[in-house]
Amino acid sequence: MSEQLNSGTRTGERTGGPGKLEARTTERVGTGKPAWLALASRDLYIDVALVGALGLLLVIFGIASGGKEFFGSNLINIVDSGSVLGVVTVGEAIVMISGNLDISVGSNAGLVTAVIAEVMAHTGSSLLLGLVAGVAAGLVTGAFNGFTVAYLRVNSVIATLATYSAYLGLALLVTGGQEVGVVSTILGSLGTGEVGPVPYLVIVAVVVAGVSVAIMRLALVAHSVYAVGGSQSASFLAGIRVQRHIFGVYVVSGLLAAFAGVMLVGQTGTAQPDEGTVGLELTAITAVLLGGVGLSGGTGTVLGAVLGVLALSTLDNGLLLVGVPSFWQEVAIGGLLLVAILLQDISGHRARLRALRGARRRAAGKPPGRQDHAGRRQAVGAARHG
Amino acid sequence: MVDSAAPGAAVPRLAAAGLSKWYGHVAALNQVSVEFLPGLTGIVGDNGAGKSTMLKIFSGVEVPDEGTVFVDGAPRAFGSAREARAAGIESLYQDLALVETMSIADNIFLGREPARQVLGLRVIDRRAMRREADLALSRVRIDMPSSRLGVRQLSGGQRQAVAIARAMHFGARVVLLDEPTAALGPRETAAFMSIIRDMADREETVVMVGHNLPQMLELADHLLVMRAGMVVATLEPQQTTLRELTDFMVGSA
Repeated sequence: MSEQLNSGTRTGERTGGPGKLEARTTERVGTGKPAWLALASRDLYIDVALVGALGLLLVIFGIASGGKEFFGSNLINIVDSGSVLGVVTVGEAIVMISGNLDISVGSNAGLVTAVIAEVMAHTGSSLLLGLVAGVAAGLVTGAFNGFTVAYLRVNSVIATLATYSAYLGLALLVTGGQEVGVVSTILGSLGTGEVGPVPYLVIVAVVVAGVSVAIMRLALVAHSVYAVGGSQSASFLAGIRVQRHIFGVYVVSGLLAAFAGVMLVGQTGTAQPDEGTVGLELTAITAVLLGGVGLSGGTGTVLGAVLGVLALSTLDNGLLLVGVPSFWQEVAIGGLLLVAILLQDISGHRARLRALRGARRRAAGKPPGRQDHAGRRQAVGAARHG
Repeated sequence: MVDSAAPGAAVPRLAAAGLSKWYGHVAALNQVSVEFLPGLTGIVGDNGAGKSTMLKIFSGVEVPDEGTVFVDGAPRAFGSAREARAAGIESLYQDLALVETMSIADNIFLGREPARQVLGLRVIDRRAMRREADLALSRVRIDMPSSRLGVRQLSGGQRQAVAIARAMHFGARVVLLDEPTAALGPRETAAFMSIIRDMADREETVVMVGHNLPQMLELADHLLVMRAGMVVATLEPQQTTLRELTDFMVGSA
């Protein structure tokens, strides 16, 4: 197989004439894929693969649990259990597409629940004031993250690790470390009510996800966020206001964390400064990575991240139904993440191997000529494509 | 300086008077006045001669401590790369100002994407972008399979070509190149330089910093030699030998 690939590579290299910049790329992209496939984006592959994986999980669990139990109303449970996580994950995905990370989303959501509970407790259970204060808290914390990362230029991992801790502490300060109940029939019905078989929270999550997917796909500002994630220097030179965009994605993430906080209060009727939200950020990051958004930014889609959330909740739900101990669920999630990342990068690995084989052959046989130089560069380019 | 010596001569698209730039106590540029004529102007000089600093000032990345830049005879002060670009000065950087994760079309329109207003949101018009990008590529006679291809899949020379296509598409008055072929193999360098030569033959103003002196002598229409932050010679490549050029560069002429 390697021989065949190598000889293919060689003829490909020699087709360009000396005086022209001919693109030999069509025949070089990937491993002999037809041109139209090479043009389809990596993001599309991953989204399709995720839908396939999700379908596979559903079939496996469906069979393993005897069918009836798993499908039907349980499918709604799966989506329901992922709704709060989903809203947080959308924000995390947008931040990660910009090439940054937000570790503080969980504590931010927790702080929002604390603010809502405390404000309502001191204003005679005014839902309006509680919500306004809660959403404002999410926006301010998001803006603080954004300011620190975009304008003070603190590395986003460090900045949000710091605020992760700080927001958690603030939340505990606000509530005095006590669980604070929230009395609100409206919030309560938001958290537990349903339209027909569909819970309100699922509707909220689907709307948030749908709007975000559309905006991130269509809006000019989102396109610029992708550009910033792909290369800050190139974006800056092209006149894109890099700092403003990074600031913006953190504000969005803060706002969505606030939504998640409101949903949590509705769901549980209490402020959840630690119990409900600790670890949320890591699960969100897991879902985003599963969904094909790279750590280095500029790639992946919000839709992929949402599919990642669904995969995680399906796995959780399915393993539970089949009777696998919960400790194994954590192991399974870790395994799923690793496998997914390896699969996402597999074409890159293959191109790299191919380039390496070519290089070894040249090293052993004849010295690399001028044409090999260009060919190798392309192979490396394809390898980085991942 | 900006007043042309010969009456009736065209105003140079790009010129500068008395440019100075200090980094601490070091003068990277010292009272430099230049005019760039149509065609390819090569700038040569040793490391630290001030070549890149000058280019950065023209492209808006650096702000001069003294002096003025003139575009089409009008004094301009650029606060950012965006402003310089808006004034028609396009730069190609050594490290290629392209976003690798995006397509050719995305890169050609980076920062200038066609958009229309939908429900108060500026929505990007991808179809127009691809169509225009294909046009931009063909205009500089660059053969690419599709403008939808990812830049990551392109060779170094093809990437440079994309950057050129971008510059020309937006009606650049001046194209600045800082060692554009440093990362290219010999074959790609030749192909890239033929695109540049093509532009110069169409009377575009192209300014190129380079270290490859024989190449500069062969291809440039005008040569500037810089040393210690100053322009020490303006030469006609046809009447200059490699020896003379290096003498000017090291200061023994």
